[in-house]
Amino acid sequence: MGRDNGTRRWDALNPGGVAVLLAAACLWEVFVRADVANIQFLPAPSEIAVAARQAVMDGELLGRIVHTVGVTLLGWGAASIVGFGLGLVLGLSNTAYRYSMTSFEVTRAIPPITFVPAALLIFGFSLRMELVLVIFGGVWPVLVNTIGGVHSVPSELRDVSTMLRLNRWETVRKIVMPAALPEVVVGLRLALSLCLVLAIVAEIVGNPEGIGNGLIRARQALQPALMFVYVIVAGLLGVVLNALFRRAVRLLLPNGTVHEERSW
Amino acid sequence: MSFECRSVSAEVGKSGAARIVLDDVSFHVAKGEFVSIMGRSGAGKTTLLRVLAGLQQPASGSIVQFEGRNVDGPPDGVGLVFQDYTSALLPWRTVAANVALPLEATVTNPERRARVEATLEMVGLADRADDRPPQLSGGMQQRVQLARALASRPSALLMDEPFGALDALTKSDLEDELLALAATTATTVVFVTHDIDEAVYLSDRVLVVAGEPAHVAADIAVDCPRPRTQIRTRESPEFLAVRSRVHEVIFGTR
Repeated sequence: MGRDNGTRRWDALNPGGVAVLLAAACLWEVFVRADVANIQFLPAPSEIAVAARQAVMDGELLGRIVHTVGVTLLGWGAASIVGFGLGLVLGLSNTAYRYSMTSFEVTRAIPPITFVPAALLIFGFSLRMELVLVIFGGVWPVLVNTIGGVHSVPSELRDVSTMLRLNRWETVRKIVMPAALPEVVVGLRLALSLCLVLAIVAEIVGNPEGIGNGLIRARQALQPALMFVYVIVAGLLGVVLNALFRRAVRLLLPNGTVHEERSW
Repeated sequence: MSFECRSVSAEVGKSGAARIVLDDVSFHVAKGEFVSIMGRSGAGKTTLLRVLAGLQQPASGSIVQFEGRNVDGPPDGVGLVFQDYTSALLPWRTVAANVALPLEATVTNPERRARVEATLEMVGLADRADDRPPQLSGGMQQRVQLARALASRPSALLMDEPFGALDALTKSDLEDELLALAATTATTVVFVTHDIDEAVYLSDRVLVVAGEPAHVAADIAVDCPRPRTQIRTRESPEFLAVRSRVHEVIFGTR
């Protein structure tokens, strides 16, 4: 399985794909330089590269990346703990599930972004506001997938644990948790991407730090090339975080522990 | 006496939509005896086995005892082998760790390792201890389940159509291995199956359950001498006579 993924990653970096990407960039460059469409603030790739170099040199880019990644990971960690713990309880206890699911379904249906104005009002332009938003958004995928994972434990395994006389805690630790793990991991991965997005949104509208704030600053300073630097960096961060997560899963959970999604 | 059932009734399904599957089932299983429970699919064989295992509460008025004590929850000394090995084994654990599972809370480390090793040796899987169940064939996975049930050294084994999903050749291998194991460990076995030949070949007695709700339609002793062998036993007149008798009870004379 692991080897499989490795080859897939190399496929993603195949020379043909890279060539197409470079060609597209060249086309974009020509398009802007020839001024075909007369778009005022569309920078050429070369200008973006220059702006990127500048942002790296004066340390601004690194500082903003550190902030955004730090908040994303911190919020994601907290969301994972809350989501997993709550999901375990709700998955195991039918009573808790019955009484709380309506509230959760209603709350979950609200896009986290709509809470931004309220969070701003309550917490002000602060790190706290950013973290609250990130955690709130990140909890749901973990929670929902943990409940789903616990519910999908085959009923045979419950009988097995009864017959082998495992107590409740042993059953949870040795059977329910590992059996639910593949779904929990899916939830964790969805949450990670979501947390990054929400951190950037919070920085755009509220907390004046990080990549989101960099985007706004660049716009206000009429530096479109710098804006695109942040756009591209945000995209790369998503890819890198996702790749790191997959690698961590493979390292921490040996063969067979997580049956990774198959490609059909 | 190993198991004792007196006028056992049981329902399946949620209360309200419950269906009575067993009614007035009475029988007993002596220590060290090998008893098969035969019947058509849906006749209530599995329900009966779950009642014996303490996984299902029988209706009030039923008496279910194991070694003289009432069964309310899985009795100590009873192991259960499930039909579906793919969902009964833990795919994230190695074969050895699967077998060690019932011993983890009760047996100390070195002793546990020795017992797991010995049990895997008994079922012929000593060299696959570090593999995970999905890497094994169906027959091997069922052996792992058997080993797990035997690891806590039960005095009785309950088996729910354990060889039903296996191919014919693997099945006859496992039948002989089970007979040898039951003989050497003097374990009582209650074996649910829908295969007449298998029931007769393995058992000292064949219980046929039939009807809706099901009752014990026949309790047939198998007088074939032990040790039994696939060819000689199955050719013997005793075997054929019992086989016809079971057939008659289930299908009528046709």
